[in-house]
Amino acid sequence: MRRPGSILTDRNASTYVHAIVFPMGLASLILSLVLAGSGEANDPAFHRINDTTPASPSFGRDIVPALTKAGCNSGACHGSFQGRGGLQLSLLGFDAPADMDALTKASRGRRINTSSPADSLLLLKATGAIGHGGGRRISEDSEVAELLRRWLTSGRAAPTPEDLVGLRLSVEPKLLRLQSESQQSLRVMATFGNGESRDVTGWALFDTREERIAEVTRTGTVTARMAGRTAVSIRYLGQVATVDVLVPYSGDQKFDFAEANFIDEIVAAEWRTMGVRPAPLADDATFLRRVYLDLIGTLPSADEARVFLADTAADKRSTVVDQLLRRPEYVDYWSLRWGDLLRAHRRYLGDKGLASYSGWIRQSVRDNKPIDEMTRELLTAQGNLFTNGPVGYYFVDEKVEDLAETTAQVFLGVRLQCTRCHHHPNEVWSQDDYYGLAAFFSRLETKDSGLRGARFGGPKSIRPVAAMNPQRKPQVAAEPRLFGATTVTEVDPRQHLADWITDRGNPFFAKNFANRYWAALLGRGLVEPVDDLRDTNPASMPAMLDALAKEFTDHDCDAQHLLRTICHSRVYQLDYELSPDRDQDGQLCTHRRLRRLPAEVLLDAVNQVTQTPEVFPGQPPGTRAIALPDPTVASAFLTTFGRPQRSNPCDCARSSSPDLAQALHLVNSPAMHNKVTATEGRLSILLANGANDRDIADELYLAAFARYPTDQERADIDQTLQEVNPRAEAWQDVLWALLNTAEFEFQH
Amino acid sequence: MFQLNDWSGNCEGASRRAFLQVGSLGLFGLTLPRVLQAEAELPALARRDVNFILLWTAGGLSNIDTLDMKPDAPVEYRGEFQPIATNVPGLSICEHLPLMSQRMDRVCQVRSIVHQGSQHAEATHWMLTGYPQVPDVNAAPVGSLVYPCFGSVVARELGWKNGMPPYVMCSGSDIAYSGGGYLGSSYNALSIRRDPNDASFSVDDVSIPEAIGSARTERRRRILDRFDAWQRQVDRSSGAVFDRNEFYRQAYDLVTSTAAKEAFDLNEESAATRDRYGRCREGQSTLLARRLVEAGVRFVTVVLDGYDTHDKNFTRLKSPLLPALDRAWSALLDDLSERGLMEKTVVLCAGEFGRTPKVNGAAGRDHWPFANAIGFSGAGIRMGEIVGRTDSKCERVVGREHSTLDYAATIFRLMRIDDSKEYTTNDGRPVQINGGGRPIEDVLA
Repeated sequence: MRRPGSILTDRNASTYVHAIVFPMGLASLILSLVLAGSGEANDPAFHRINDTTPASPSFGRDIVPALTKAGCNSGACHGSFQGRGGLQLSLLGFDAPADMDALTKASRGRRINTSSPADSLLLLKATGAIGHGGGRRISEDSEVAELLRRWLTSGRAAPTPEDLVGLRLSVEPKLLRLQSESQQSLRVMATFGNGESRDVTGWALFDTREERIAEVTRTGTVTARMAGRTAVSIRYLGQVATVDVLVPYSGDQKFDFAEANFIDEIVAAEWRTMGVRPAPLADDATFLRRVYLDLIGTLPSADEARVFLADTAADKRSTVVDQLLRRPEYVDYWSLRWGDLLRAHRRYLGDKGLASYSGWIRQSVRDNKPIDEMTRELLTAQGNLFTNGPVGYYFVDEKVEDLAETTAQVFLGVRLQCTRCHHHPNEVWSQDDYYGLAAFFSRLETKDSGLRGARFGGPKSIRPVAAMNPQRKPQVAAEPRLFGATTVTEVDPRQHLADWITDRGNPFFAKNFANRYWAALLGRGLVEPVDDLRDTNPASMPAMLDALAKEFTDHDCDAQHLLRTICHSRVYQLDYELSPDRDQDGQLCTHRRLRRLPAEVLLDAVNQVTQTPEVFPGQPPGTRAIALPDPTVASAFLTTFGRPQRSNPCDCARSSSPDLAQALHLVNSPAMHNKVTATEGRLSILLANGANDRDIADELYLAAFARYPTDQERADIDQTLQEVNPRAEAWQDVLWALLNTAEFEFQH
Repeated sequence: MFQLNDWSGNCEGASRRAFLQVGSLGLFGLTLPRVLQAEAELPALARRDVNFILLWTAGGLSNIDTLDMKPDAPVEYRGEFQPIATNVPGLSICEHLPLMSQRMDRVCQVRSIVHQGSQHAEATHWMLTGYPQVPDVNAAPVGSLVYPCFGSVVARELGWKNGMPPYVMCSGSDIAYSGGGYLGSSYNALSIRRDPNDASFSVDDVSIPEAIGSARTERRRRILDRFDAWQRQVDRSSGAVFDRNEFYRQAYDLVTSTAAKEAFDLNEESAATRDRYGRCREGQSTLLARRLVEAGVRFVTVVLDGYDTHDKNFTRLKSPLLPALDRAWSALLDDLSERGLMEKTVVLCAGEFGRTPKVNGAAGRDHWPFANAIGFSGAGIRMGEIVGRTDSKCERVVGREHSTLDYAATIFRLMRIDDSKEYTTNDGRPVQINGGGRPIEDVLA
């Protein structure tokens, strides 16, 4: 089989750039022509739109957007880190002076023909007049070509620092409400510092977040494809803007919804806007199992379920939420989650250091320490790890760049990784911002006796020093400086950083944690992925995120208050039933999202239902999986079900995707069989005590699902008991079957 | 997530969608129907199912001591072993590979692949995925994407066949980066950890435990069907539940299938055949790989361990490493030929890197990613060839080098997988199966 791309490609005509090869030949030219054929009438790479083309274009304001629109400086072409075919441009034109040099000076200036500027290689290659690895990017009579031509012939004005000063981007309309299959065009205006204002619609780059919901063309025409919510992001000269796109479901949905708190008010307003209707309230059993799993990572016991179901108090749901927040399992479960986020692992800290770091996490969770305080303790930690847990933060990541990335991702929900090497392609953050942040961690000195030393009590400590520690110099020289602000000069600038991060006015901190806790309870962040907050990745319900963040700061960053508030809302308590009048996309919380129990919670659940405690190597008997100190405690079950290795701070490190090994383990492993049949287990004890079939059924269903069996289920059990002898074996098979249902494996 | 076509599309600029939209557009006489037709005109073989057996010499087989010997190099380079002639004129290989020496006409040896991974984990990532990787000292990736290995891509693209999982790995130990990477664990290998050479060999979680027995397993499946009311109710509305149930179905099929049971049962083979492969983990795992491919598995990795010969290189290669490899590899080629399976099976013997040409103070050789020797056999391979050349001391490739992406592209071409296809990572980045590698044409028949 040959791919279209290789059919006409002469295989000798490839050029190697490190490990990446790209074809040079006719095929790419053809594909570009294909693209040209499909282009829109007003695409400046292929069609002239009007004659406002400046007589002597500015490099920074005209040529860079032109190169960007034609794709020259994209990551796949000359914007790649190694460049392509010998020409390297900055990614999406973020470094105009470097691009100027690359085009006019590099390779002895061969890309410019000074005696006949219109015949410059730059133009001939881009128009495909002579062989070009990237094919024909623009047509000769296009506005892009005309701009390049005029720039070449008018003396090739260099970029000036003033080019982009004060540049602001505005898009009209700011919000699109579209019916399915209808279209609307966006208009993008750029205003420069000198007051000059331009329509740059043709020059901006457009992307849609959910292509299924709405598509956007190269020139900013949005077409709705299906009901839902998405956003179109617009990028131009390092600035970004976002337009929310709403495609309502058909029809006016009428519903009554007794709002319990502000969450319900805001979300219900979103539903009305979008024309969807919420699921009914979940029944008591579903709610109980849900809230136990969410708040303490533990199933309700059969007795707890029995009592709750029989309770007639009107406020029993609120009561159970308050009770759960005081349970010891609350500390285990949320310490596990914080341990993932902060990567508590002995590979970084050693045994003793892990105990200290984890101990601090547990104590903070137990005390419900305000999250801004936790953040401050971590960021400004100093002294000996063994006596001061938060010092561990500086041993999990040691390089200043890693510390910058982790700090941004964990506390701000911002992914800065891109900016280690280049300006963030979807954001306004630059490399200066990145290394400015890294430099906050430079005026420190560590003592590290290594892991062996840490195990036996050797020092692992950190202290601030007066000047930059040469061993902690950022790769690119920088002084501590916050995004767009002035340089910080304090002796230990980390204090300043902690102040800024936890400041009430910080646009990310509160939203980040509000979003993380929302995601933990609702199964999906308002912003998703949860640690990727940026203007071009807006929240599914922006008003909800704003209100939740405000609630969080208004209540002194109190995690339990946030959890309680969300659990008390009716939105949290909805059923999982997904009928056609719900938001099918799952972004609007019209119904409960189903998700598999996390590895540790699932193992504990199996053990709790079967009453067969797990024995983990090196751990005291009775240690539950959610209370394990770190992922080095061996467990085939936990590995199979996606326990994270805590090697990176991304929320995505925990896998909940199903796979064959998991299914095989539950279906066919001796371990599961042994749990079901264990002589000390729940079932054996019930049988030994002479319990009748009805009571055994109740007990197993309450333990596994927090509910009583239905009539049909009782009939199925009876049938099984009739078919299978002896009775114990029949019951073992029933228990085994219950543990193998999706209802058990999922949280609903 | 974002479709960042403008900066992350391929250099040709056209997304697949744009290409399809203009299918009827005539350009230089090439239209989309014509493109498809060109594909249809490939020989029948090209569209037949192809399976893959990877003999992975974990640790890094010493290339200079085995397939790419340099008898004229100074003694501190050439080592202790003598070359012997093979059935390919002009090619000599190590004296400790006598069986393979008579089968080199069925191997296409490639010596031109170069990468930059000098530690095991990163090198394994280069050679099992084609892409670079920067792991920390614990082999955990640092900030960069973990790519799916070849077997996982095959699993994703081709799926199950005859109730058998698409990707199986026989290995006593864990091999870094041999799983689904950013595609997720759904595409990991089914792992066979026990030693197939053990009399009591069984496959964990696949072979039904004696305590349960197959009758009871069947019965449990029927009982489980009764209790899945909830599952049926939500199956259509929740993708997560649906996917999970699919794996359950597959797991059950696998556990209860007679074909699978037989495929894993080496006692079905004659003693002579088992002897031929060698009565050791390596040999019996290789035999198992052949049985699995016959049963419907598409990609089997057999891990041959112990090639990280930093010390006593010659002693260890002489016994047991090379005799075991020689036996297993040659038996596999013979067996596949005799069974007419060579036309639909690719065999690749490769490791993560070659070894230092200069012998070290412990009579060992260290890691060397700048030259390596690997061998392809079977479907679609130009066998009996040697692709690429190394210098007189086996230090560097002379002339044309190939990247690991080229090597990956070769594997995908052999497996009939369109490696220009884009996947989406879980942080929303579009990534091609193969980022620009081109098949090594000289390997392809």
